[in-house]
Amino acid sequence: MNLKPLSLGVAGAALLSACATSTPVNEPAPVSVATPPPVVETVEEEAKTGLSNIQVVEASGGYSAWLVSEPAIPIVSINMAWSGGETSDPEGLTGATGLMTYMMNEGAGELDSNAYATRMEELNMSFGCTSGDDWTSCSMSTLSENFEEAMDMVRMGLTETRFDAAPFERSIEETLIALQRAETNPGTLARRALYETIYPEGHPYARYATPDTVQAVTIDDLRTQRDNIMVQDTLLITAVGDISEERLLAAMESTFSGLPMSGTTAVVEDVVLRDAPTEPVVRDLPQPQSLVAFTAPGVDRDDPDFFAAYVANYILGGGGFSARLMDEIREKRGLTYGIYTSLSSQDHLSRWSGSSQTMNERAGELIGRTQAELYRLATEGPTEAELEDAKSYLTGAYPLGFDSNAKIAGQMMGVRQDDLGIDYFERRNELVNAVTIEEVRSVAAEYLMPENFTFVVVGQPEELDMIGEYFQDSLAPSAEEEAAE
Amino acid sequence: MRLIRSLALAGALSCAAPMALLAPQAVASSETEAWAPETFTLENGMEVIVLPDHRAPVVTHMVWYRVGAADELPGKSGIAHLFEHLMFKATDDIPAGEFSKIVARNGGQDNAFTSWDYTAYYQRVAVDRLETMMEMEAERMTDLILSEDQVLPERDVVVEERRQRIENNPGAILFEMMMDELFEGHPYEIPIIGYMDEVTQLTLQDANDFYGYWYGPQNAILVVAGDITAAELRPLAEDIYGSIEPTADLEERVWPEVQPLAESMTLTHSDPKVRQEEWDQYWQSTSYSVNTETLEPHALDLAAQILGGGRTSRLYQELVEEQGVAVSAYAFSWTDLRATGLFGMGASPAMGVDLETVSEAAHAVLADFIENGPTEEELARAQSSMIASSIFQRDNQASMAQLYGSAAARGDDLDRIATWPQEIESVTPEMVREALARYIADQPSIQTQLLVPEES
Repeated sequence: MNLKPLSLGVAGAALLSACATSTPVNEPAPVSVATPPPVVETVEEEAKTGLSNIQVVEASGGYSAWLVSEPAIPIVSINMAWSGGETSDPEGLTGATGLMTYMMNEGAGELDSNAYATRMEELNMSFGCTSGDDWTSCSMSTLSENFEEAMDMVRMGLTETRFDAAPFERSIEETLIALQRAETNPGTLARRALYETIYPEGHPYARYATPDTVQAVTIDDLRTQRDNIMVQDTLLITAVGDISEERLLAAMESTFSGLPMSGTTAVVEDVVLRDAPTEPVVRDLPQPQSLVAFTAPGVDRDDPDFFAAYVANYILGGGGFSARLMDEIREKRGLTYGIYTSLSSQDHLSRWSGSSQTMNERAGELIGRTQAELYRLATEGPTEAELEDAKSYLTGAYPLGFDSNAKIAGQMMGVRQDDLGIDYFERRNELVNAVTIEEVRSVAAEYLMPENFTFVVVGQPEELDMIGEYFQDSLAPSAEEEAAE
Repeated sequence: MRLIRSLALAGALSCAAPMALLAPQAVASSETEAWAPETFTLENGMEVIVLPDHRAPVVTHMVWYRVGAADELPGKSGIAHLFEHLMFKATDDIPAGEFSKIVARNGGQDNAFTSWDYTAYYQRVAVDRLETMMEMEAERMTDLILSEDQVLPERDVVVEERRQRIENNPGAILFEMMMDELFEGHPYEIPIIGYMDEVTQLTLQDANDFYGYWYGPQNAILVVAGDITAAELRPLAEDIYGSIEPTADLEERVWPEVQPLAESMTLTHSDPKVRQEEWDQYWQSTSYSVNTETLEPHALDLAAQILGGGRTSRLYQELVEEQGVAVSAYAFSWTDLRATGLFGMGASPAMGVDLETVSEAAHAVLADFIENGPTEEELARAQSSMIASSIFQRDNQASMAQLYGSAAARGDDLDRIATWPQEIESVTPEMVREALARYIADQPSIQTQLLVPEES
């Protein structure tokens, strides 16, 4: 513990993972397959997720919580989310919502910042808030014996926020320094390059804070953001742990009834991405390895094709060592430590994205060979075996996302935010298993042609003029294939 | 979220949660009755640890080996980690590239990690697939078959991993320089991933030698956490792992003594990518494995919590809140190493403040802390926080498996994990003061400065 400062050094140095398999998104239940040693039969029954026991707890204010009571460990985890996030930053004040969330545990009621933090420690609680483009979220965890007192701290944080000058100034300074650091952060540079290249100009998703916008924010702006976003009628709550429905309901009433009933947040247009440029977008950064990031329009969460795309993504680059890209780029050629793709859905934009890192000298090769795999899946589709493997994993591993209170609280919140319905956990594996090979072919053909993707390279890449040749080389039949014909 | 998810992933490739490993923690005393690990040993010497958690029909299956980067021969830095990668290649029954695919077809997730003290392999999977995972893990304990055309591309992968983790990251380069000095003459001075010029020279023969020497059931620990009991696991473990013949007797793992740091020094590293300067200071300390007779490791962990463990800590309150010379300030205690651990503190300056100002302010805070020790109230709060964190840790079966597996791999007494909360509770202000006096006050240390290059 207490290793915050070492997060770069020690954590990076002290423990190395073989695989870089930070497994795809948090989705995965058990199913079939022949393994070398033993042969395991296909398990037809649906995997249990342990979520058939969700209680819906409705408060008088109209908002509700999804609760899973789990007495095994004397702790409670609560997640809260409100629709409305950084897209509601006022014009010229980008960063205001983020700064507002910073203040939620920085002093409330009679307690200044230090007193509030001290009280949280005494209650063994953690509480904090964050914002994204579309959502503002808070989470709290505590020992169940301290639950009521901890929820009262949440009440104070949300409704009696002090907005003291000292923590406000500190938050501004921290943000300014974070912006400085971002100037040489490859991920940030790649993201901004995408905003500049393919996002509609001025769209809130493509905005980011600058020293000017941050310094223009006032404490009144923070109050305004809080009062418009953290309101009763958009509040979603999930709770897991050693807590009864009655205790939770009582705490909800006393914690949230002081929030405004409703507020005003920005109306955001759907994003239509511009056409991808034909050449990679390069951002110079003096380092020996290049970050290659690529993005194309993706499939919406409520699109009937979503699960076909989800399966296609597993086959392409979401499946760790089972994915084509990992096989071609890492296993066969040693070009990278990891290459991954993922689908992401925001309220107004869905994307299909990927990224990898390789030595500057081989950046062109990595891009060319990646494009070849996109092309191959788009034009040929998957094999039956790949489809079955994808379903086995995606359904089989699903319960792994439900083996802790914190994970269950997070999974339920994701389902609530995407409005998938309380029976989603029961239906989800059927939706994966229903995907046909034709559906995967069709979705791959529609979305994965390489020209749909904008490639961004951050570093000092070389051989970008060789991309086409590597593309062709990867698609050329191998010697064995030619011999076979 | 504005972050592109995949970019976020690319930045956090270490699959295990290293933070969770860094201090032995355990269940609070009130919990030990209801919840307890069970351990037994197979005839071939393989230890078994079972950590029941029946909330979900899922298990975390791990095999730990008592070998890590600190056991490498001179000139072979990085072999423990490269070999860990190679364990995902072919065996006589599993074709090349199939291991992780088979795990995935079974709905499982797998990975492995290497530290100085140990190497571990794991799968997270539905409990009805546990037996398959055990058979595969047992298979590669003895039947791995390596070839040049597997070793060479994987060595390239590791070189890219090194670029990604170290060469691309000025803070990691400086940390490597610091460890090289703090542990001079001891294997902790060598980076786990290896030196670039040595990793690139590792061979198939090196990998086979390493495997033949270190890998066998007598040097391994099985940990299964999740929806299983010892009674259910025992017959499987005896059948699958217990039937493996022990390999040749290993000599005891002996590392050179850690030499006390001869004198204090300051190391600097500047890089055009640095936008925010940082200052850190490191001391050799002790560890739970080395120091089993006293509560000094506990006292140092509590000292770090009080000195720099968050917003209420002394360093944060003084440097960030009172003086406004820093935007962050912290302390850390790394006591879960098989050999000597380390203690440290650090800060990142506010705009326009130089590193000297920040370090002087931190030194004043430390001097007062060393002289007067913690107050009763501070200590009680730190004790409560650390004990509570051991309860929160039980929410995650994988992190419990790591806690027990790493302790067993270091050779620690596992019963001490359960008694850790009581031990923390019994630390007095005087014990904290004495530990600081012994390990920190007037002891040589290394300061590091991560710098923005001077304008030319």
